[in-house]
Amino acid sequence: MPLTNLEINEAFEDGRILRRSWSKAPTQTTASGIWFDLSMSAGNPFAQYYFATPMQAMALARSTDGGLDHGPPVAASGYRKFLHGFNIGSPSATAALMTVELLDYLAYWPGIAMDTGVQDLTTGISIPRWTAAQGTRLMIVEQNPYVGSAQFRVTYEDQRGLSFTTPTLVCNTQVSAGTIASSASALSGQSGLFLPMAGGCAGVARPVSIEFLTPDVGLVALVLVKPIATFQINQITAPHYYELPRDFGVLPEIKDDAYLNLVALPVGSLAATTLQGDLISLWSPA
Amino acid sequence: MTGFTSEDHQTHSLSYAGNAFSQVFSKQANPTAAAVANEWHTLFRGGGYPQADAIYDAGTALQFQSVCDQLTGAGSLYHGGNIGVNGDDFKILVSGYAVTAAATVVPATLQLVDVLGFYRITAVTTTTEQATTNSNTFTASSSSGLLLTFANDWQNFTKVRFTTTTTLPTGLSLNTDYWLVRQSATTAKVATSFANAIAGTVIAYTDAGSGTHTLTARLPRYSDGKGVQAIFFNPQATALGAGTPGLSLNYTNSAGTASRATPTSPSLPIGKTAATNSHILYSGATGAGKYGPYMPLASGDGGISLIQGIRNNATYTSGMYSVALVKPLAEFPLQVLGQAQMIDFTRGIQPSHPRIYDGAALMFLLKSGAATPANSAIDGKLNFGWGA
Repeated sequence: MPLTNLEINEAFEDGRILRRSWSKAPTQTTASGIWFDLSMSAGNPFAQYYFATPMQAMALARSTDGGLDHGPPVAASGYRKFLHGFNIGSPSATAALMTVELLDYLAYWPGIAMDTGVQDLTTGISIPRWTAAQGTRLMIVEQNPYVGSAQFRVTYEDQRGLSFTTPTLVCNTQVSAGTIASSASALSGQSGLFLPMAGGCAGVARPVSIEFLTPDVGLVALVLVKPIATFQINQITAPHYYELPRDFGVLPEIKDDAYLNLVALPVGSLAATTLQGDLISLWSPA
Repeated sequence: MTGFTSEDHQTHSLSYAGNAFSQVFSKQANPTAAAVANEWHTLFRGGGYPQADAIYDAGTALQFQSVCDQLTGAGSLYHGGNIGVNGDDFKILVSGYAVTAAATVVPATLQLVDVLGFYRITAVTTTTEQATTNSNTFTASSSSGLLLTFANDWQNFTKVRFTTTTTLPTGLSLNTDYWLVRQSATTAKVATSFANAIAGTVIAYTDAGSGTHTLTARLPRYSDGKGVQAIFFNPQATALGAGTPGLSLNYTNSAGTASRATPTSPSLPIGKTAATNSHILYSGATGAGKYGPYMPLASGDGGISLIQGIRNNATYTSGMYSVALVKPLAEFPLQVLGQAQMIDFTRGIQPSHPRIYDGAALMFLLKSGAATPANSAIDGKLNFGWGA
C-alpha cells in the first residue's frame, strides 16, 4: 500500500502507532565537538557497555539488549514499521546546542586492545537487519579510557564484499567511556562520527581487522550502525518535536527488533545532564 | 519524470519504496594552515570523510581532467549509486544538515558542489595566456574492441565527442556522446553510456575509419555549461609563491559562444600572494579583485562549457594552482557553534530540488567568517531521494 498522507492518517485512526518516552542521564565528561555514544549512559533505556568476547562480533537487538522502545515486531503480521515522530529536549544548559543522531546499532566488536600490530576481528554471526549494507557505517567507541593520540587504521568489507583500509586515523584525547575516538573539533587525522569509506562504498558490511601503529592503554569497540535520523536541540526551555514526514519528507524504516540508540555532538560536557523525549512509530501494510 | 510529483509521491518513494540514501559526512578544513576570515577554501584536501583528494595536483598540466565519483582519489561523497538503470535517473538532494562545534569556525558558509573537471597550471611564472588541451587526434585499432590511441592521458570515464576529416570508425557517430574507458596513458576503449563504461561494455572493432580523427572532451555532467562556474585554487600543501596576479579565463559559454573573457571591470580577480593549501586564490575580505567563490563571467553568460585559455598576468614565482569547473548545488549557513543548520530542499522557503546526476563528484567549499584553524571539523548529513 502506498505510504501516503491518507495511509498515515489511517494508521493513527487504526491505532497502528506507538509512542514511547525515553530519557538519558549521562555521567561521563564530554567535550565540545566530540561525538559521544549515549548508549553507554544511564537512563531509560538502560546503558549497555559492549560487553562480550573481545574482537568477536556480537549482534544487538531490542529484545535482548534494550535500546529505545519502538514497539514489537510487525513483519509477521504483514506490516512494516516507520519512524513518524521524535521529541527531544533537555533542561540542562550544557545540552544545548546539540546535534543528535538516531542509530540502529547492528553489531559490535568489543574489547580491542590498543597494542601495535594487526588484530583480526571475527564475525561469526550474520549481521542483522540492514543486510545489504546500504548506508551502514562503522564507529570506533572508547570502551575503557585511553590516553589518546594513538594512530590506527581499519580494514573493512563494503557492500560488494570488497576490502578497503581507511587512511591512518588518530584517536582523540577525550578520556571518557562512550567517546567516539575518531572525533574531535580540530585535530589532524580525524574522521568524525564514523570511519571514512573509500570512494564507491555505499556502506560497511563488516570490519576485518584493526591495526594500531602507535600503542595506548585502554580498549575500544568497533560498532556497525545504520543512521536513521538527525535531530537538534537548539535551546533548553522547550522540547523539540519533529514530525518526520512534515519536517524531512521521509519516514525512515525501523526494522523489527532494531536496537535504537543515540549519539550526540555536544558543545560542552554532558555530565549530570538529562535528555528526554519520545519516539513515535507507526506500521503500515507491507 | 523529474523528481517528485507530490508530497505523497515523495513520502512513498523515500519511505516505503526505499528510494533514498543518507550520507553522513565529516570534513576537515585546510590541513596545512588556518584560513583567514572571509576567504573561501575548497575542502577537497581536508581529512575526514569523504577522504582527502589525491588528484587536483596531479596529471598533465593544462589538460582537461574529467572528474566523477568513480575516479580513484577524487575524494567525493558517495550519494547512493547510479539510478539510471533503475528508473528515471532523477535523484535529488532532499534535505541535509551541517554543523560545527570547532572553535571560531562560525559564522561560515558551507557550499556543496559537483566538481566536473579541472586543469592544472604549473607554469605559474608564465604571464601570457596558456592554452588548454581539450582534444586529441587519435587512431583506431582492434584490441578486444575498438581501441583509440592518442597522445594525451585522459581520465577514465571522460565524456567525449568525435569528429573526422573523412569517415569515423564504424560504431562512432558525429555529435554523439561517448565515454572513454582508460586502458593506458595513451589508449582507451569507448562506451556508449556512463553505465556501460563502468560495466566495461565497450564498442566492438569493425574498422579504423579513414582520415584524421579527433576526440574532444566534454563536461561529464551539465555538458552545455549551464550554471557551471570556475574556481582557481591551490591544490597542494606547498603555498604559492609571491605574487598578486590578475587571473582570467578564455572560455566558451553555455550558449556555445567561444572566446568569452573574464571581465576586467571593475577588476580582474587578483590572486593572493603566497596563497595556502586549498585557498580559492582571489577570495578574501578586502581589496580590489576580491570575488568569491567563483570567477566572474562576461556579461550575460550563464555558465562555462569549455575553457580554452587560462592566464595569470603576473608571476606567482613558484607553486601551482588548478582551475576547477563546478556546479553549485546547495548551501548551508553555519550560524551558531553547535547548531545544526537543517535544510529541506523540497519544502523550504525556496525549494530548489537540487538534481544529483549519476557520477556526480560531490565536494564542499567553505567560506570562513572568522579565522578558521587547520583541521576544523564540519559534520553533517545529506539525504538523497528519487522517484518510485
